[in-house]
Amino acid sequence: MREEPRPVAQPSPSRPAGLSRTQQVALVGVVCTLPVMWVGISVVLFTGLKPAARPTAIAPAPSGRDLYATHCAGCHGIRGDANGPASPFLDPPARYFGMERFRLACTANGNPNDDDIVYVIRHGIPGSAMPGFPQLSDADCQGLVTEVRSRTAFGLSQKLCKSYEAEGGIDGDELSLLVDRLSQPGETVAIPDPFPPAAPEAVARGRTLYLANCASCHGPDGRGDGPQVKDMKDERGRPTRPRNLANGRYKGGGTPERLYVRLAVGMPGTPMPASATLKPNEICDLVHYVRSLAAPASDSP
Amino acid sequence: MKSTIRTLAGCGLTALGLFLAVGCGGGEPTKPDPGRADPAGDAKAPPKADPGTKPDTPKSDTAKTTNPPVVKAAAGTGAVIGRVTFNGDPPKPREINFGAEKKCHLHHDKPPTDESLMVSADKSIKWVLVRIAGKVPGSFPPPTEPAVLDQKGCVFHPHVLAIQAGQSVDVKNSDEVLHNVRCESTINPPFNFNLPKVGDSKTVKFDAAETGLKLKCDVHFWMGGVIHVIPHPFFAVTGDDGRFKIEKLPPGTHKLEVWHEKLGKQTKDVTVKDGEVLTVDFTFDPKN
Repeated sequence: MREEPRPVAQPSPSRPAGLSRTQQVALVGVVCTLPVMWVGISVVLFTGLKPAARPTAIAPAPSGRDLYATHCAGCHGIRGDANGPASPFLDPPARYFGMERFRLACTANGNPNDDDIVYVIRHGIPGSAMPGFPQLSDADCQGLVTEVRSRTAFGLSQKLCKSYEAEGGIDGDELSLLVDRLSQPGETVAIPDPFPPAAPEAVARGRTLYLANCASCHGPDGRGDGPQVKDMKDERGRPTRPRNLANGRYKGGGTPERLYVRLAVGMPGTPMPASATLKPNEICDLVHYVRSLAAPASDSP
Repeated sequence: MKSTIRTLAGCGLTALGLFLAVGCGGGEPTKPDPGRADPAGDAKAPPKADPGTKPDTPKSDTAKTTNPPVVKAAAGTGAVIGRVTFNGDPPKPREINFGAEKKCHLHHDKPPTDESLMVSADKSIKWVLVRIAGKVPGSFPPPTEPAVLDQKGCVFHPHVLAIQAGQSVDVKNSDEVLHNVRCESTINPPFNFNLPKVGDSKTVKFDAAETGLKLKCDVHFWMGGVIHVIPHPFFAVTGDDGRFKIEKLPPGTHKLEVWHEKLGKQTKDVTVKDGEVLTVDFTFDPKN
């Protein structure tokens, strides 16, 4: 059957000039891309022609305050008052800065200098929950020293206020002067240099000194089981016990030099006393004997 | 109609485009605030005073002993005497058990008793510090003679030692056993040292006024003592009879304070006149 030719729409003068389907689609497409073009042009115009932003090679260093909040506040509390979330579970407890004395100073008066604080931050305190942070830079450690010292001053001023209640109080200016004075690190303990070697005679002399000076608490073989160990308390009245020296782990470091200082200064705030009567060579002999108590494999600094 | 719609749609889309362009391209991206949270804001050091101020220090020009103190300077001629008694049955003193430390028995006929609360049969309390609380106007030089604190028979002698600020104490070990001497003072520098042999001694100076400093030997847990450091010479420690006498007081009103390590403290105002001897007694109730 012969197909009728399809009628073709002819533009007629009576109809408005409409667009074909193709033209309509094209118009919609152009109009829709207009906002995108506007955005793009505006971005370029307002921000300038720039390459894509690159990440900076070195991020800004965290402040001492940030480091303290990150690494220290969990145990020591954000105020340094050992009231952090982990504090109730720690034995020995975390230090309440200022209210309690720093245990591991190398100065004659027991007040730590910056090196003492940095040592503890870097190495931690073996035998306690205090970890070492060897990854921190010198600048980071120095920032933390400032944070620790400011909290120590605060704790000490609280402690002094309480003590001064019985003396009629103290005014603010005098208190801050006193806090400064009482926090000054003393002279660093002079260590014999070179340190005498660990000869068998030195160890034997050390044993005699140990029995007279140490065995009452640390026990005949250094296991912390001395006959007089009972009801030992720290400065806050909490139970404590003498170190088991046979396990070779020392809170303040086990090198001869560090053990020398520990025997000379003691550990302030604890039953471990300073030596008032031993001469330097006697302390050296004692150091060698104490180190001989530890098993050879655990001779860690 | 259709053309109107088209025109409107076109204008709307263009306006949207303009709006987007201005909103997105107009401003700098905001930087994140570098950790402004300030939980440790309170933990800062107390404000520094200017370096010119110094705390008062009493000047010294006359010598004196400690127990009882004799004031040579013309401070006054008034005196206060009295007795401190216990308002209850005297508690039975606790015997000290030396445990494994046999050598502690050497200086005792019978085991000593704990001295932290000593009340005699007539209810007198021993080892009570009686003092004028706070500072006393005037200058009172501390004694140059050091006081003596001995460890004998594994007991501190005296159990309570009262000295004047600026005075030294010779700490001795008269036992053939190791003792350490620990004092966790706050205002005075704290100390803890070893005295391993009989005859060992060390001198300690107390420069600041501080009461109720507890002494300890950690080797012998029962060993305890008290040191009081007073900024003037107007103090005394009661003996077995519970009596005290404080002489040469400057005239005026003072706070007379008694202090005992277990029973606490009490204060009474006393008005002292030259040449007068006041009698002031104190009574402590038992502490539960």
